[in-house]
Amino acid sequence: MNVNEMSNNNNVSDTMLSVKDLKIHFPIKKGVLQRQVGAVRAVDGVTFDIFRGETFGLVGESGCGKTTTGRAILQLYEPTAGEIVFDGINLTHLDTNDLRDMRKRMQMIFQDPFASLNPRLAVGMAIAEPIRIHSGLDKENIEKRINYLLEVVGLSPDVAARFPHEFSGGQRQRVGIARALASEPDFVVCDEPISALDVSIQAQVVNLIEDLRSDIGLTYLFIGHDLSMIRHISDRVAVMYLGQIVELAETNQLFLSALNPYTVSLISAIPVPDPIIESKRQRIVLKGDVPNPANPPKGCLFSTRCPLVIDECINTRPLLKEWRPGHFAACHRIDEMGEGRGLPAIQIA
Amino acid sequence: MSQKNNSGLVVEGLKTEFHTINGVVKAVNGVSFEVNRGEVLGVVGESGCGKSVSMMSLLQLIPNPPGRVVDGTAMLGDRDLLSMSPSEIRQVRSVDIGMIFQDPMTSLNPVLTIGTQIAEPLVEHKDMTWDDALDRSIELLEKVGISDAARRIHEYPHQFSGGMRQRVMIAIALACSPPILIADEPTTALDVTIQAQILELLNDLRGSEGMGMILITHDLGVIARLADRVAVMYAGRIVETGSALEVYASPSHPYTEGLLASLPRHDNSTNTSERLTSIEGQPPNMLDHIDGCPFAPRCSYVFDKCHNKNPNLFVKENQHQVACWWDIQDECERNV
Repeated sequence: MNVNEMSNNNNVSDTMLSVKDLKIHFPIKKGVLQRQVGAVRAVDGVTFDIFRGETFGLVGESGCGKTTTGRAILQLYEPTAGEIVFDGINLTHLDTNDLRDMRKRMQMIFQDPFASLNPRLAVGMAIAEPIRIHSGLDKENIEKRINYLLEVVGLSPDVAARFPHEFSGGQRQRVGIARALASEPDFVVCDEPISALDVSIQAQVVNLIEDLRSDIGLTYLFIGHDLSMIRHISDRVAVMYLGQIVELAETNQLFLSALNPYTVSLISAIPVPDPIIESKRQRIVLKGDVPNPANPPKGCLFSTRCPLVIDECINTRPLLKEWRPGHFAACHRIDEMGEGRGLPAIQIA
Repeated sequence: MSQKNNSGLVVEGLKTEFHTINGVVKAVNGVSFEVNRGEVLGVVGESGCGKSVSMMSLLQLIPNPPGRVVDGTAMLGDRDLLSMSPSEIRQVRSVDIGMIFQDPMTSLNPVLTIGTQIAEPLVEHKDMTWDDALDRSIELLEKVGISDAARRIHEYPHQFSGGMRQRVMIAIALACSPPILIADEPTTALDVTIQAQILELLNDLRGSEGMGMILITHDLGVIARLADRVAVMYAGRIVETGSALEVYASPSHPYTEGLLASLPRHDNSTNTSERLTSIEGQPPNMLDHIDGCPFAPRCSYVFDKCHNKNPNLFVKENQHQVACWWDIQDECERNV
């Protein structure tokens, strides 16, 4: 069975979002005539479902296409190919007006709270904008709603008249979250919402994001590169490499028995905040860099760095297959390797 | 020269202030530490806690005005870095102390070849000819793990990836074989798999070159991997210091304790769905004058004394020192 059939196995009403074979290629233009000479395959055939009420983690290194995928879901990029189906409605074929109606149900929390707020707009006004556009409430009710939203994210309603520069990073991120919630969305893309924050503030914001999920009943796509945080917050996780998903599984399954060698080395590369464990730990240090996405390897995308590479990996690209119920991985060597044999154990605890 | 190379760096009572329109910021407020050869000192803290400013103060890299080192000594052997003339400190910056900066994208000169940038300090400070210096550059690039080095010294920074540029930065810092290396967030701008490569390299160099290393980071995992000793900074002061084993096994300052508790751990299989323990509130505004302990407003152990007087470091056991009234109070009670 391949991933395209995955959604058929689950109750359709449980699926909030389906991404089907999504491709986003950015053209490379050259010369006076600006002719297209190639394409950066930022996202190259990504398929996954997100179930209602879950937090779906999307993890990978910079340039792997995780943010592009998140933005494409919100229709901020036009897909080169593929479909995005939200609650049974195919977003890729909607006209502008219908799309605007859908947009209020899907919002985004951005990475950098210093860049994502307009410095000349009082935060109350920033939060009011989506309410005004999407709800048609009158002035008094908009104000009530702003106060309510500020309280929900743990800020005092008095701050509505203040400007972004008067806030710290963590507080700005709270404002960004309040703005994302203003149009009463069901689905929120969190694009590395904590990576610009200090360590002691990160936990505050993650706790807030988790509380909102249960209190308001949100569904999240949580994009990140910090595997420890992804493990903490996600129900299921997909690992991306060079524009494709190389492994997708329920969180504990992925972290305790990863099948793809890239996932295994990614997990082993993360330092654990404990010197005793660190001194005993076996880790895989990958050689080399991520290949250029304008010119990816012909076979397996990871074949240039993989410690287990064989001829087959260089010549043909492995497909994402379901090895255990709900656990998908793309690798030619899983059959013979079994449960990741041949790679140093990644479990330390 | 050789005698000096055997000694480490001893910093005492370092204070650096910035004079701004809004008032005086005491960015570094009485910091003391030492690092010996072959040893890694990890300095951890949040942005604005003064960890980078302390290191820049040592090398006289603080722009004056607005910044000024107002007190302290930094002894490298029998020489005080803080009272050196501009030409002396320039010599120290490449021959005695190497430095790696956070962002490998902006800290290399884009219009000079990699080879020129590595060879320059050798020609300048070691009286090598350009030819010899370029040969040495090739060796250095090979040492930091760049293959095909003889060809690559003729390339420009934009032809290198982020991880490769950070390797080049390390090669430049190592050019004159300094006994001390300061690495300021050397892996923060890099991906985790590349971070693992660079940390491995730094660890090898510590062994093979016998360098003393000061590793500045906000990542407690990176410190755990590399550091022998740890200094935790908060609001311009070291609030806890000790061997890595001591500090991680029994964090004694409430801030250290909070930091370690707030991290999700990907390595244990226990219930990951429980809430993270967070430190409420925010770091203090450094413009405000604070009488008591700067962590008091966020501290869950806070009592009267904390608001009145800022505690100094006291010895808990062996190398382990903590600046917290709560610990001292415990001590007193035990003695009574």
